[in-house]
Amino acid sequence: MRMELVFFWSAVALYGVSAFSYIFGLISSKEKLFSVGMILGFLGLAGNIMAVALRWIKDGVLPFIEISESITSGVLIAMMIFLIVQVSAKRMRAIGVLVMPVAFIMLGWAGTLMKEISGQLPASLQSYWLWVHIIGASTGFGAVLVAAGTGLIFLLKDRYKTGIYDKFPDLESLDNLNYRFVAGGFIMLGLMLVSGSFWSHQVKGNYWNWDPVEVWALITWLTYGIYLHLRATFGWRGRKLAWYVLIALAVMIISYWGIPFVVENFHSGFRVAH
Amino acid sequence: MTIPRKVFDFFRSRALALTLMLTLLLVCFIATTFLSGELAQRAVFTSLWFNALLVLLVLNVACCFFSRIQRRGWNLISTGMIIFHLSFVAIFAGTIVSSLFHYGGALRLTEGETIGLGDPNAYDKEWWGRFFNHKWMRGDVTFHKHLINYGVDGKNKGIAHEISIVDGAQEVRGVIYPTHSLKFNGFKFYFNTDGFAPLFVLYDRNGRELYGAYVPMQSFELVNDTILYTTGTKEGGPGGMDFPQIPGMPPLFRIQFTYDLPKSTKDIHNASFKIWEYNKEDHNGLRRLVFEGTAPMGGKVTFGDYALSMQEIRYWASMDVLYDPGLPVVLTSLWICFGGILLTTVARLVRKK
Repeated sequence: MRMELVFFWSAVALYGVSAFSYIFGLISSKEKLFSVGMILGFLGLAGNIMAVALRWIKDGVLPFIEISESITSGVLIAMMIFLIVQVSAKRMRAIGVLVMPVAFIMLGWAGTLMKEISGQLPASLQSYWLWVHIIGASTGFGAVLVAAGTGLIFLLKDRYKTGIYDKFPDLESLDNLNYRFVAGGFIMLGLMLVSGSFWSHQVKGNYWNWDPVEVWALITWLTYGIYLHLRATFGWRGRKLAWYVLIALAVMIISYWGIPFVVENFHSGFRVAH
Repeated sequence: MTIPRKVFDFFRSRALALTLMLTLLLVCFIATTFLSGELAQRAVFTSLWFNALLVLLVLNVACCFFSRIQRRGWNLISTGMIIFHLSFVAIFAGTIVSSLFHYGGALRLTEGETIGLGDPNAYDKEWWGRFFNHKWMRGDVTFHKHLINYGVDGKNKGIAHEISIVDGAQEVRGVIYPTHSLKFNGFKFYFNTDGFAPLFVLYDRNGRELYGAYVPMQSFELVNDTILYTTGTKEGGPGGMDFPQIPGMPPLFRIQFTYDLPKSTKDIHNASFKIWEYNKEDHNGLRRLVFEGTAPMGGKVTFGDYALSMQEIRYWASMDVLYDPGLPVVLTSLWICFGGILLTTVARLVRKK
């Protein structure tokens, strides 16, 4: 088995065990299991990074183009953001209850889609805008995934209040954190849209095609724009917005990685020979 | 309350903004999920009602902007909001300018060929805005060379086309490839696609040359992953073409030319011919096949009083010629819009802290 695959599937397994550790920690009210989950998350991230790096070195081509690579890079950046939050805010560790299972399922899914690729990046993708686009998309996804995690523990704390939930930040702080991550994600998703437009202009001379993936990226961006609007101008807070971010995460995942499967669009065939 | 005030209040309402955003979201969802491709484009994205929704959103944004100027003091949050709202309106203005004055065309040229930028026969497809003036299309375009594995700063850009555009003393010459276009008098030339264009020559029974033409081949991917280079259309598939095409004279035959790309540089280039008799009345119907055969490059196939031969291989290139005066406004406004969002959000987060 190739080393790249060894690291990749190790990362999947470690994320899976980490997810189990977080969920079991919450069910059994054992906070230590959150720490175990975090350590496993770090180990999984190391495997994830190694898998991406080895693929990059082997092919000499940005490993962010195929759909499986796109999911892998999205999970990688999301895990980085998540683990930074884990290290810097101990009381926020429970967000792993949502983040780790999502990371596990998505990376596992990416593994089933993985295929051999040609060692040549198409000329149309040799653009600096692509970098900005990928960074915007991946960090945007990471930020809103963490936001969804805070949304979930907000709802859990709001419902159960005592026990392990006592150790979570208060509801107002969770709500604020939720807002901050959504705001950050919204900006990065905006960056993704703008850089995508500039890439399109560089290659095709237009900036918007109403391509299904473009439209779904807009839907995602609008979804989070509406969140901010509801909060800033309509005064929504707390539970309603916590539910909102959970639903919005589903929209985001469908938009990024679901749509390219069901419709033909220029995002689904980047490596097709000219 | 006066009527203008009522109208203004309606357009600046937050509820309208939210309703419009939700409606757009829903429409986009339906268009991309239940409709597809062309149908979605036709029924939704290019429709009058969808564009009316966008216009309404822009009006709403503009009115919100004036309302904010009236009500709020000058701070970072409101500055960011104003920048965002103004740039949003600017994007819309740029889009309107584009839709009225734009031009787009798929220009097809064979290697070595020069053609007038404004010559409608040179284009496979053209589209333009209501106020675009074709007189703006001045100059001649030449496709000098088809380049394979074109390198820029050590990177392989794949296929590239060396072209020039000349109008009197004005001249631009350069290479276009997927991430690089050329600009001339506001028109931009984008790399699109290319193919083989062999030179086919028709002879009489005495071997005298009667007619010759570079025939552009389409590439069709076959089930066994090989590619068939032949005449026809992308949409209609492989097929024949009337030959020869001399203005004022009826064609003699309908011919399907096929070029067999050799697997290595040592192999021989072959051409296959399928020739039907020409029947003016029965243009799209079945015709009598009069000849079918293959000849190597330089060799001839003879049928009746005529002979045909493939003499050389050149390339054709199709490039998109675009004129879009609103584009710079839109692209600049996109960044300004993004800056506005960034400023407002960061200022809000800092205030919260």
